[in-house]
Amino acid sequence: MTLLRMPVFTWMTFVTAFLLLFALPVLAVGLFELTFDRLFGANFFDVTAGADPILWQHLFWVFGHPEVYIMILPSFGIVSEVLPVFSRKPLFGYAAVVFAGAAIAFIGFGVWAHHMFAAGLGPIANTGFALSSMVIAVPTGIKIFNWVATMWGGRLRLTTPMLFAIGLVAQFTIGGLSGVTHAIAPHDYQQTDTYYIVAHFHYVLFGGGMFGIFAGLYYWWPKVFGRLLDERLGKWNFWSLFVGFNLAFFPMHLAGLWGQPRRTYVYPAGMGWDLMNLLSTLGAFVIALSVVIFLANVVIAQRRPMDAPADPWDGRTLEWATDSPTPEHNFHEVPIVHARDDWWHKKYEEDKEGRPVRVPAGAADDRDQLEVGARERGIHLPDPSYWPIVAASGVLLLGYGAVFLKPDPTGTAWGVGGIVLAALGVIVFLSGFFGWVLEPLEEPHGSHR
Amino acid sequence: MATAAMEQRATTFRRPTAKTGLVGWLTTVDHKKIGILYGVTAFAFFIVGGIEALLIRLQLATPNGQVLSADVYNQIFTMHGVTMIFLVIMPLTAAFMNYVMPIQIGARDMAFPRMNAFSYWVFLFGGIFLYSSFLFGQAPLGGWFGYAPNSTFTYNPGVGMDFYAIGL
Repeated sequence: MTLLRMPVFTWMTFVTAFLLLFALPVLAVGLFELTFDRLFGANFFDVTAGADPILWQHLFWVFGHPEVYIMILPSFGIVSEVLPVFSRKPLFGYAAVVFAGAAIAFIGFGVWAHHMFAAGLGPIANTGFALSSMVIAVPTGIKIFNWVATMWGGRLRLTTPMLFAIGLVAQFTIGGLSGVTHAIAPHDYQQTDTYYIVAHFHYVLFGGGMFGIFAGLYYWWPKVFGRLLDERLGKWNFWSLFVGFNLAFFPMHLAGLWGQPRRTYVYPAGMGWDLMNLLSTLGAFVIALSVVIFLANVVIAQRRPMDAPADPWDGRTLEWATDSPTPEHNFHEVPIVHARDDWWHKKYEEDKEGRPVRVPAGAADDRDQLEVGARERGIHLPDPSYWPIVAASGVLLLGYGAVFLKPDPTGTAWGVGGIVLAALGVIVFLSGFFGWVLEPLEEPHGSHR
Repeated sequence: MATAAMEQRATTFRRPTAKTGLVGWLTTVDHKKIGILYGVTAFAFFIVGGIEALLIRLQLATPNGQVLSADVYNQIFTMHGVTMIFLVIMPLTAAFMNYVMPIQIGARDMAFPRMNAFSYWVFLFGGIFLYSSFLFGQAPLGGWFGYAPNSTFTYNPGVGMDFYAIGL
């Protein structure tokens, strides 16, 4: 497998990993400073001691804006897998979609202050960040047009994963458009801290992110659990979620533009916001109903025998080449990749008009149905280990220790319990890692040595 | 002699062998099982966060709602935001990344399987830690972006994701 043969979901995982790697340290620094302020009386954010009052905002949003791409790019990857499979066409503009994802990630680090237009950074900073925020709409638009072009002229199968994927494309576009309106700084002064913002980020995170995740759940469920989720319930799930979602969040645009502030626990009558809020609440309960339908679908599916075929959707990528559910060692033989959408090209060749023709049955199928485990095949897999959970529980103890270090938030008393817990946490954490490194690579099993 | 040393260590730090049952799940380093763990945990948090959303919407259904007090409302909307971002969407995408990405490229597992497992457990404990703040009567109330009590460990799942990213 070479980089430009990687499936788009894998690409977006890769890009997201970079985003995490560069964005989370900023949050970690901010949180360490905050903790030191709270526990040990440091002055990072103490304005009376000369701290910059918006330092936290900068630190938080330098992390916070890449964070939104951390949440959405994997869903973009899922949709880029689902749309081609159910359109029976390769992804339109593969390279453009991949590089647009990478471009979003890069530009995503340069737009954070659009969360802070109203903080008083001054016209020059606001203009710069307004421009960079508008620029980021370009790679996002490239992705949307490529998805539409993938469906264009394809033989569409409107299965549940496909419906959720199309739902993402439509709703993310709405969320993206309202996002561009935030980038216009003067316009943002009107919107900031209103329900318009709440509507916007629910359109991108729920209408985009969660719809993509639901598409992925329906799409990969047979691969993971060996059972297909029911399509009829799935369609009920999709349509109720679609209606409930739009009913809940579209009225928020209007309530926000009419001035309803967010984060307030009551609002007065007679402001013209009553109907919109009532609709939102109704929508929220339709969403809840939809989630219940999904859970019912899961329960019904899991009670059925594992009868899903290995390749139920006529997929394009390698995961459909192995059994459903995936065997412990993933592949009996590690596949050799000759093309992008390799599994498709193993199944189909082209006739003179370039139409796909099935390779004769069996020729593409190198799977065997023998119930033989990894050990017997001489495949080395890492052994299970106790130490990850031990080391992690040390972190938990350390956390509780830090919280109880100062039982009295204003006083200077040190909680003995907190110190003991924290010390215990450090010991457990360190011994977890000592166990980890001293652990033998594998138990002597004898069978394949 | 190396073998003898190996055997010696094996008696001190024996690796678990169970692949099924509770111990199998607790000690697993299989990217597929870790992916399923992420998915199940995150979906459970999704339901919790959804209930919080319903409480918010009940409070806001009519003007001057009486369902929640101002203080509780602040805690609920903060926890809704933090839950949905750090305990639902990020780990749900991590579930897919863990399960699907290796089999899409024809690999047998992640590069650092134990690191991967560690990342999941830190995420789970971080989530439990965050929610245990309700037991102590004070959940974070400063908004998902804000000065929350416990915030270092509130975001532990985030740091776990960092390990995950390195583990990739």
